[in-house]
Amino acid sequence: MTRRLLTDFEIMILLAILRIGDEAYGVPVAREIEETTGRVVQLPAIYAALDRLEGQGLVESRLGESTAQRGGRAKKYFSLTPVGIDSVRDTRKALTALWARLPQLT
Amino acid sequence: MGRRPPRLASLLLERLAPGNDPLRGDLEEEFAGGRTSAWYWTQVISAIAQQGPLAVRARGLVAAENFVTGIITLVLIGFYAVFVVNVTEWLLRFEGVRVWEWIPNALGPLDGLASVMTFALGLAAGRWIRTRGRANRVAMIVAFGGATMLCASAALKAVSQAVDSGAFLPGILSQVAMTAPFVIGLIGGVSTAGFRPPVVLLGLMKHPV
Repeated sequence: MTRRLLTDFEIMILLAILRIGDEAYGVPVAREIEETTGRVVQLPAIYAALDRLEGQGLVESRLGESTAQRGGRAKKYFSLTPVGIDSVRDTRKALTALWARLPQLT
Repeated sequence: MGRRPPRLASLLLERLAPGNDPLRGDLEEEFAGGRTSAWYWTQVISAIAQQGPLAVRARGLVAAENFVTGIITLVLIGFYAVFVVNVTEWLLRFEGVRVWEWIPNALGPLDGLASVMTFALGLAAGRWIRTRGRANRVAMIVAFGGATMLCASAALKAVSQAVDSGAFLPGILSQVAMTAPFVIGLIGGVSTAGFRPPVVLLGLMKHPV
């Protein structure tokens, strides 16, 4: 079965989650993308994308601790599922193949 | 105690993009960590733009469902009231008992004071229904049904008297003046016990009565 390729924002989020590891919730994911790519991201956009990816079975989540600093609200930690990791691999393979066949960029 | 984000922005986020506690927690955490109010507002607007239309649509469907359920319930209660009152009247007529005489007379001497009293009665009934409703849904439905039946019975009596006396329109208007405060009070009572009045009026209640 052919899996769909990820969008640029989705691949950034998934890679950020992989880089962060066990502590990947909204704030560090946004910070990782901003610091690495220089792109400003909105937290609601990240959550909307993560909801979509979770619905597609590419990521899974668990609720963590709540703190007073967060108004008593729990953190939601994300991690990639095996399907999500396969999607990242497929997307990288496709992008690498496309880059490889490019003529010299001026 | 950390900084608190703008209250209006938090309220809008809660109302227009509900059901995302982790996001709200992240926003509060970032704000407490030094983000500006402008940043917070930007995030809230972004959340509303992305989730708001879906939430409003879902809420609209619930509202429509509750409104239809409420109308059907009222119609059924009305038919039931007509049936019970007429059958009882017909059965007891043979015994020389006039059921109409037991029902409170909406056209009695109290006039204006009656409207105030029925409003107060409706308000108290509404608050009681709503308070009980949280703990016991059956009690809420029975109480609401009973209150509606009382109104329906009083209206039937007034219509009957008006038809008999030949003064139909004045009789109906008097009855409206009598029962409307009760219904308004009832809705007000339900509202003050936990729901915003416009929400109740539009049938946006979580649990239709």
